[in-house]
Amino acid sequence: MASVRIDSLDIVLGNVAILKNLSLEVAEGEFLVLLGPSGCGKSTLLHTLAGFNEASAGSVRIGERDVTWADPKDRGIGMVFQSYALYPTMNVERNMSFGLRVAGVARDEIERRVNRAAQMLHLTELLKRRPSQLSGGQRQRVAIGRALVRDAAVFLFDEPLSNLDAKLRAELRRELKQLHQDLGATMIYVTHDQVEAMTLASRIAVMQNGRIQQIDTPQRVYGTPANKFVAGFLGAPSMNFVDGRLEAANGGWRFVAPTLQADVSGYAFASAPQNGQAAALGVRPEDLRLTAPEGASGQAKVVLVEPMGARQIVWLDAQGVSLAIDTDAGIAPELASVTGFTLASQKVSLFDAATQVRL
Amino acid sequence: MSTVVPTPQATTAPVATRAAPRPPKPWITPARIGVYAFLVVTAAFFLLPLYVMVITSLKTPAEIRQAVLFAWPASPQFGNWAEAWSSACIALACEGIQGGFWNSVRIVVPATILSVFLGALNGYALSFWRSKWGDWLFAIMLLGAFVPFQVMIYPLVAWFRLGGFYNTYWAILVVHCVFGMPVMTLLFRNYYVAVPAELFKAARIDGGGFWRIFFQLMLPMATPMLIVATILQVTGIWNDYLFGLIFAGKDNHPMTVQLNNLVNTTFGERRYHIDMAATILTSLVPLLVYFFSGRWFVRGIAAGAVKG
Amino acid sequence: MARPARPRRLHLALHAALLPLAITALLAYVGSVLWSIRISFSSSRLFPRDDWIGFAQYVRLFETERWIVSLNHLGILALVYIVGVLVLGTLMAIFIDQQVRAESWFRTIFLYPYAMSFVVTGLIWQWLFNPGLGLQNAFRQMGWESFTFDWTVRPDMVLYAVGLAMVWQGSGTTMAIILAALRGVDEEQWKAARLDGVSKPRYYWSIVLPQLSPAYATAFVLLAVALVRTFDVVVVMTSGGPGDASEVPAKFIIDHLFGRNNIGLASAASVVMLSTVFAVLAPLLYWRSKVQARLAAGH
Repeated sequence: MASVRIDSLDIVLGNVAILKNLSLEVAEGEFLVLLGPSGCGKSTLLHTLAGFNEASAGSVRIGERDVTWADPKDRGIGMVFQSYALYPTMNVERNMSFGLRVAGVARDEIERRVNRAAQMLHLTELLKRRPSQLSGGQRQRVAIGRALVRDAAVFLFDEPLSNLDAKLRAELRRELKQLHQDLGATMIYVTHDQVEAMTLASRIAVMQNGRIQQIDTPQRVYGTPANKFVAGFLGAPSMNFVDGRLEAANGGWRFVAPTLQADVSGYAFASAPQNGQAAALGVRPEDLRLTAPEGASGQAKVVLVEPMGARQIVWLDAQGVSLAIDTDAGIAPELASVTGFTLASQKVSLFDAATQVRL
Repeated sequence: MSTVVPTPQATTAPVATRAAPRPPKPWITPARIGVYAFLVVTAAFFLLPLYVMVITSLKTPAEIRQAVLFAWPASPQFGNWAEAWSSACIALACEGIQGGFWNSVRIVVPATILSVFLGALNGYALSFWRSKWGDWLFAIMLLGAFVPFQVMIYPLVAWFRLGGFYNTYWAILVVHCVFGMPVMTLLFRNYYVAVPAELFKAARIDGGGFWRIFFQLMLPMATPMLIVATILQVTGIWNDYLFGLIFAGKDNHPMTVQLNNLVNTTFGERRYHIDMAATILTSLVPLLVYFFSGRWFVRGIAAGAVKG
Repeated sequence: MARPARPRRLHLALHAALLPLAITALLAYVGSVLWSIRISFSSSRLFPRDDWIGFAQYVRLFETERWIVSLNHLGILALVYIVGVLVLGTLMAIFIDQQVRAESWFRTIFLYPYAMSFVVTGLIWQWLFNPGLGLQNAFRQMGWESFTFDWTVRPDMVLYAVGLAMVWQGSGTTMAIILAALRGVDEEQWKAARLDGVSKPRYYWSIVLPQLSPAYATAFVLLAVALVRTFDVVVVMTSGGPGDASEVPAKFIIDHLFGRNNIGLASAASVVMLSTVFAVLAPLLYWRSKVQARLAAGH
């Protein structure tokens, strides 16, 4: 197992600068997820790590070695591709052993490694089958197996679950997490699915436009997002945002907006705010509660209710601002009625209105 | 206010020395040279005959006798081409190969139009108006594409003789339609199979009948395939030799037949410069079609190659 | 599951439209094949005769040296032409696929021979093979004293001359087919192979080309069909000569149909060709459709 260290990486494809001055450190045995929307550069970063793209500046180290200019096969990595990229005319066993055979590894060693990987991935009965005879989930396991037999220091995953249906995705997600626990390997995983990121990662790096917006444990990225983009990207339904101002009051601070007012004296400001500063308040649907209109943080009209089994999403319209509340299915709010809502003030996030950065 | 929150458990490895200098990465590797070398040599192999053909056709007889094959003519004799066109001797007539040219035109144009039209009609009828015997006919036609023509020649000759139009213009027209039908039908049927059936159903709901839907909707829709089919047929029919020889009759011999007569059945001294000029003239039409049709040509080959 | 009967009018239109197809398929194709088979069992010479002589024509056929010779030649040509085109076409396709500059120029050059008639091809190569005026003399003039390229006048080499001309003409189309298939291969397989440490040639040999078997089957079928039809290029380039040295079955048949007035024998020969073609192609096409289905399921 090895750590990965990226320093000041610049990647230019065609004439477009995809990544600029990106630095990243991945600890040994860590499961790092690169999360972001399409086009944010996460796949490009991964492929550069693997050696398929060339960086125009910066360096990549895997373990002790500088591999910036090394061939993919010399980097000590294994990779699982989005389309699995299995060799169609070879059976599972040959797919997994092909690289080893090319490298001239001894036959019994090859057999040992293949069998070990097959056991870990429940592929032992499938060794003689061809990819066309396998299901999507089985093919994905073969792709992982191919990476496993390389005894790599680092494993790279390029959106491996996006070609699977929802049920299969959940099942394989759990298997991947189990695999990581069993192997303790360093894994770098690219996805646009935030649920995958939250469940699998030891740390998440949220990316946008070629920059890492925030890199931290899932809980902290979720609970204390570094900027509005990160806040809105994680969580479904996404965080509610309300624009307003910060006002000094009673030795503390209040957030004031036409639709809601809240006491934010307990908020951990990074630096002292200014009176009257324009800010956006972010609060997650599960941190809002429906209450009687009197004494609430704000009032709004119920426009839509989405039942979700044990819970329900209640959509409110507060003078044009749309708010979502994730609440128990027990309460049955009336459509078009006016209700109040309160927020848990220790769970809110405040963002600067201009820079979108967390205050 | 940095947006990158450093990880608390990061292993602070000692700051690495400046990344290893970029190893010289030559743009020109032996592999790259090899690729271009192969392509250039192969291209030369393909261009050589054309080049030789052109310069030989522009030489004087004396220059040809000197036999410096690759030398550019001292002064290009375009008159050779004029002579091949209008005054070279084929057997006993000395009117050049222009007669063959016009014969070929008279054959190619209607034969192309007819065979492409029939192919489109067949493809349309077979894809949208499925019927049991339609499918059978198509299967027979597919098999027919593989039948060596030798096995069909004599019966066709006999039947044409019976009908009284053997060795006439009509015979060669019919022959080209017959032998072109499998590929043309296949092309259009495969094309129409990819057209959503909903389009056809909507047209029928709108009240369209068999012919109306064909002429006003499906035929115009197949324009790309019409182009491809036309290119294939123009090239194939123009370049045909055997059918023209057997079925067209002396008065209608296409250019290819006359070319062979011109070159291979002359008495006395071979006039290579005229021969080559006539060869160029014969290949001019399909070559021009090729150069101007570019992508369509490739598409035609790919489409024609997808069998069943 | 009764389908509503089509209105009379449409029924008529469909029939009218399919009439040319019906006539062609049933009369021209099926009819002529059946009639040729019939004639091959008769003693017809200039005109068809109604008698029945069993397999006598076939026996006579295989006792005719010129026929045996033409079959041998077809076999040699099959090797030279089919193998030559497949190899050259594959190499051309692979090299063009390497992201070369001026790719479309190369493609244009590789494909233009397809636009030439076999007559033109035969004539040009006849000229190039001319010992005194063609390539042999040209290279000797340039200093390469021992260069020989007079295959068309040598009975032992003339077939290879014809083969070379055919390879020149046919490689481009096969290249187009293989190239199209190459471009259908998932790009990420090359990345996986790079990671596995596979060299590029090994990648093509072990991973890509095996996937292309349907395309090769297609190319092979087209080449085989073209091979059996070989007539124009031989007639024009060598007239079957010197002597019999470049005789081919198609020419044998046409000669006996017309010049030698022996349609019985010629029909027997063409039936033999027909059976061979179908015997070879039928299993091939069946196999190809299986492979295609299997590979399609793999995506």
